[in-house]
Amino acid sequence: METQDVFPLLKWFNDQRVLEDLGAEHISFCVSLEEEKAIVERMLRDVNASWFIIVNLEDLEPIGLTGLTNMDDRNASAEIRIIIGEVKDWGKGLGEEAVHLVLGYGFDSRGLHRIWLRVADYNERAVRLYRRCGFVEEGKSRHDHYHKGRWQDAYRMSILESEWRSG
Amino acid sequence: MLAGNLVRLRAPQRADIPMFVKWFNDPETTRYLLRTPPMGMEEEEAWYDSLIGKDMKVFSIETLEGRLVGNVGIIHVDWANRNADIGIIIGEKECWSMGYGTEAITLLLGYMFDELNLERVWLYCDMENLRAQRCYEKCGLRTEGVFRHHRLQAGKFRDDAVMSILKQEWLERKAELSR
Repeated sequence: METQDVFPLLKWFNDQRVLEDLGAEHISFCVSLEEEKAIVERMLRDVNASWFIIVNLEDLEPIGLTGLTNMDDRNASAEIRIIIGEVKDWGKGLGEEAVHLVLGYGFDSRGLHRIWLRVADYNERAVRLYRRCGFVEEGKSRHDHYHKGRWQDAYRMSILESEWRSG
Repeated sequence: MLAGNLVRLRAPQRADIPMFVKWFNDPETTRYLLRTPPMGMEEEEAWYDSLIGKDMKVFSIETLEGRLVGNVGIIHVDWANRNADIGIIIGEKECWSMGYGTEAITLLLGYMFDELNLERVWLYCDMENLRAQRCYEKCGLRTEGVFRHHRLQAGKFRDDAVMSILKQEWLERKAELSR
């Protein structure tokens, strides 16, 4: 990711359909271009994170954002995040491929042992995708965030390097 | 973006600033405003830049056809006490009394109660600004007191009503609206 990628990010994070199931992650709701720039610069300065723009190979159009954050070198773990911002590209398996690529990067290039994630329990499409990618539910954060007028739960899921290798 | 039937609230953009400056230099528009006009381009740009990374959240109000008519925002969130104050301006005078302000505030209240989980939303309103008071009442706010001589404007100390709406009142109003 580079600072110039702020333009698609701004579009995606202003799309209610994209934000709907993001749970506690939709911090950049309805922000100006200048604020989104500040957010991107902060993301890029974070030495414990690696962010990637997901690009469609057909036309090289940016369609989403993914990456590893909360990188813990000592314990060889990190959190994976992903969002497909182009709604027209939903349901094509692009998110699944992106997750596989990030897992490969984390285990093969960053020497990770464990990759974990948070996902809102009502985001069933995402939960199914993560299961297909080999993630296992390890628990539920009860009342993880407030959304649609009530406290909502979120799953914690993870995949270990050995599971990735044998999968 | 928060969309209603008449207006939507969207992120502000730098291109909106000349309109903001126009509104803040119109004595009729700013008559009851709590901020002190007039404002120049540089001052308004400095204000816009100061929003980055702040709790203060400003939305531009536009009609569904895309005409910029005003702005509305959360001025400060007191997270520990779960309350926040808001402010609004409908700057385009031909757009007064069309229900835009009422819908903009209702959209903002939905965001503040249903997403930010606040307990109380409040604002100050000039006691002589009856049109605004009626609008806020339509949104479910009620006057809970008057701060006498709270503000000096044009050589006169002015009284401000303190108006608020609690979460329970919002839930009741939301149920009413959906009936």
